[in-house]
Amino acid sequence: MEPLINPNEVVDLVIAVLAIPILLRVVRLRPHREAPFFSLGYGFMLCALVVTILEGLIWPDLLNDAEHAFYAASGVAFLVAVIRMPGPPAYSEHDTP
Amino acid sequence: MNRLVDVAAAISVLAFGATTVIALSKLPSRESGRSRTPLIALAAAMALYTFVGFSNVVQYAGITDALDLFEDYAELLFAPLLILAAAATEAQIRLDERSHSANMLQQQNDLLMDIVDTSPVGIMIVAPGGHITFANDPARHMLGIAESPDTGMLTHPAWTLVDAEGGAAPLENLAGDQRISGARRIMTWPDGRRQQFMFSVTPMSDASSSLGGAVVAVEAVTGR
Repeated sequence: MEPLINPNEVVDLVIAVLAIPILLRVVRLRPHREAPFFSLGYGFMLCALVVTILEGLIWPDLLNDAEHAFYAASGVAFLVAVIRMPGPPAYSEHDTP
Repeated sequence: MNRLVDVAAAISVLAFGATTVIALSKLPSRESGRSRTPLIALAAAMALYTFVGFSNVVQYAGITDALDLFEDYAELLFAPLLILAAAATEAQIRLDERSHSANMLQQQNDLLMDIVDTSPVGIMIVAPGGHITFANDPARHMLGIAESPDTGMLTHPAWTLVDAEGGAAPLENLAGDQRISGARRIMTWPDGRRQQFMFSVTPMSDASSSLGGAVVAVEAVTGR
């Protein structure tokens, strides 16, 4: 019988949650116009990881749909974030971050 | 077959795939001196979820579910790669801050040097032993200071200094820890010529400086 909760999914979520303070620190250090979309993308990713675990316990069909929707939303948010990122500098510069 | 899941998986592949390509297209050149690690790590993380989405698409399309085995590994590596990207970004930000501070300091230094070079007053730095370590052009002109071609050190003719009462007042006396304002000194040149100068001294041996010595301003008063 397949376990209700997949340990890999729990580990994924734990690592993702542990990464939050590190990622937030960089977002605070570099509050550029792409930062909110990176945060949003990561937030959708966390939601997907949570519902991935929950779908083993309740409403498997509904939460599976939600999981994939969150993944898609995460991808779109990350896409907007990298589009809004500044392009590569052509030469060495000493700009303010 | 679930149409919502199919569409979501397809959007995931396209979005994460495009994110990977755009992140790689924004990599700084090697010549720029900027770290490429943040964007490479970010692109790798996005590529992993491109793979996860692709695995789902081919699975739900009934093509194969062989890739499903590797999805867990891809998902497991996602957050560590983002952590790497974040850590490398933070390091680059710190480096930028340091470069910016160094740049500002250099600009301030250049400005001060411009002011010193433009001043009609002679400005020099005298080390504790009386050796002149810096002199602007007016100071060099007034006191005959020149750079030794052999050692690169500043030297001056063997003139002597006395105070208003005729007591010996060598240059090293000015490099003490006393602030002096407008002290008159009479200089006797080796050829016997006498010239009067006014010296003002700000010691450098305070808590904010470990250099020692003093900044000395000098003005010729003879003939006024």
